[in-house]
Amino acid sequence: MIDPTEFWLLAPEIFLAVAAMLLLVAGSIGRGVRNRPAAAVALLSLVATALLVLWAYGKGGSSEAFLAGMFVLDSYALFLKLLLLIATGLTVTISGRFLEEGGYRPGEYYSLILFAATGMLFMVSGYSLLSIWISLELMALSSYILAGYFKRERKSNEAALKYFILGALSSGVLLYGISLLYGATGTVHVGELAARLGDLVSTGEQPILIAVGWLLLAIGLYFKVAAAPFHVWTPDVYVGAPTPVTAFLASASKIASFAILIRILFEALPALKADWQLITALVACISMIWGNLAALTQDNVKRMLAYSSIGHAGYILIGVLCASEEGLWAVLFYLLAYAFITLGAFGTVIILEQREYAGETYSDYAGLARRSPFLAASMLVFMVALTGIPPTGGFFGKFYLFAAAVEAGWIWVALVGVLTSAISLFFYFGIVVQMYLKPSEDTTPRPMPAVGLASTIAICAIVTVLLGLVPGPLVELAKASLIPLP
Amino acid sequence: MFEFLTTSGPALLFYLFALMAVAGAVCVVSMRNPMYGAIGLLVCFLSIAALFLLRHAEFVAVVQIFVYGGGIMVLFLFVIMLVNLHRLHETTMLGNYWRTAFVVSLALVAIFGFLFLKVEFGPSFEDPSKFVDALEPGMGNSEAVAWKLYREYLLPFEIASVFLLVAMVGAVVLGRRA
Repeated sequence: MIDPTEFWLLAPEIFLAVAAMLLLVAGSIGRGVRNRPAAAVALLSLVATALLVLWAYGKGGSSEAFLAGMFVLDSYALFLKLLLLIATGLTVTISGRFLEEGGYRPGEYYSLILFAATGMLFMVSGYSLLSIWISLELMALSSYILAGYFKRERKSNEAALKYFILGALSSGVLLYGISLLYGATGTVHVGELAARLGDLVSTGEQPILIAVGWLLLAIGLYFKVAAAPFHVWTPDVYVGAPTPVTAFLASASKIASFAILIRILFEALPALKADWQLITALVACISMIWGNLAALTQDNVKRMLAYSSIGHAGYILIGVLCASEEGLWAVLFYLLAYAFITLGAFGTVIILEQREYAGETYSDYAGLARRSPFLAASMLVFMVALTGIPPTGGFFGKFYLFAAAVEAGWIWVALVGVLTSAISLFFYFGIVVQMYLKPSEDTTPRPMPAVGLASTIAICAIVTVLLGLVPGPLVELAKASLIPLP
Repeated sequence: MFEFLTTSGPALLFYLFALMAVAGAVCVVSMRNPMYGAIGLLVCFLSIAALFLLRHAEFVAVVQIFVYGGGIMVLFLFVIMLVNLHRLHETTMLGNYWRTAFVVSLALVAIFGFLFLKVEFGPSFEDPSKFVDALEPGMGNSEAVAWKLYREYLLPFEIASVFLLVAMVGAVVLGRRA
């Protein structure tokens, strides 16, 4: 039964949805809004939402689900919500250039970003497979539209269509899995599902239904986090989508998908822990190996970053499969560090990009250190962090993940992780070599990028380095944001 | 003769409508003329509505007819009539992938066929009165759905409304002249 006062705790989500609708209305009156005011409104509403998230947590934060068991406001959700809002905010600040130069309408763009963020906030708080699924769809649908926002570019159309078809397929697989588990247990509530699955597994009833159900559910989720061998959509979508949207997909979208993957595996399927640990280990290894090997052969930087994002999904899965406290906080730490690193790297790509997808190959980075020391230095930081070399957040992220795997006895998975990290050195440093050692034909200094874009890249670079120097506070924060272990 | 009909009437009706649904679905993927395909889809939708009725899910059956048989079919017919369809005759849908597609779909049919043969799902259709047990006495089917939807499942219901808004915005954004 729902107590109406519980709706106050939905204030952040409701506020964000209303802000998105207002932007939508403002964008459709007359000639619409200009980019700067729209971006400012979007940023301000994200900040206000973050404050409301803190207020709601202070008012009713607990690990008990409410609203008829559909919604939970625990510290895990709090951590991820704030992280998602930060990632969305950084996406807003790097979007301006593409909207202004392409002449695309900013009102709808920012409102779709905010709608996607609303879906993400509901996802990380979802405590019923049904509410998790529908909010996942809210996020995904907004992302499909954003991926096709470059309407004049064929690649963007292709990206939107591929993303839509494969995304719909994976959502269907996910829903099929949910419906089979519902058939076996008669509930979609995460807590009750765990209890009934525990009974069924211990008595050995309905083994096929449960096995096929959870496998389909897990495959749908692996699709969403872009883990191999369910990654086929990733490279084309990441390359074709407008670069700020790609950054959004690689950071915020990925974080939210991992959040529900962990929530479902840990809290809904603890009875099947041994099974999903094994499958996750296989998926993690295939993702790390395939992502890093395929990235070796790319000459387009966005495509390389897409394969690298598949590899990083594999690294994060290492922490998930440990099913231990160390693994879980290592994942949360890594998600935060990875969000800043990816957003910064894609931000740099945006600056170097020219119209019609030019400026994306490795050779376009030649001699960048001479032409723009700031850009070259920040790209260096991001590449070092993605490889996992100190003193950056990427190093500690990988270190904690591998340490958790060794402690939990998954030494072979950690070994694959270390080896593939070594491989990744080649393609990440390919860019560094181009920037610092290759001469460029064009030696004119690049004009300074716009303030919003430049300061976002600077913030990302600073946070990346800071996490590598003083990881302690974030580790403490992540340790305070755990969910019950399976 | 008549005794046979009364005792296994629901079962006979189930097989009849299930067969029609499958035949309609096969029609959708095999017909060259999209208009016949659309009619096949309609047959499939209506037979599924009948299957819902046999399971005493009156509300879902009516929604199935309204939404799928009505709304979605009209959309399909509009698209078929607005888009130039002569080009469809010349292209093969799957190209070189048909062997892979065939193997994959055969494997999926085998897995799910095995699943549904092995698993006992709820009360069987020979005794439909069992389905009504889940309702409170004196409560109709739509009433039961409404109670569930607006109380227990209120949150997903509300999120779905935002979802539909985004779908509409998306159609406008992508459909507008660039």
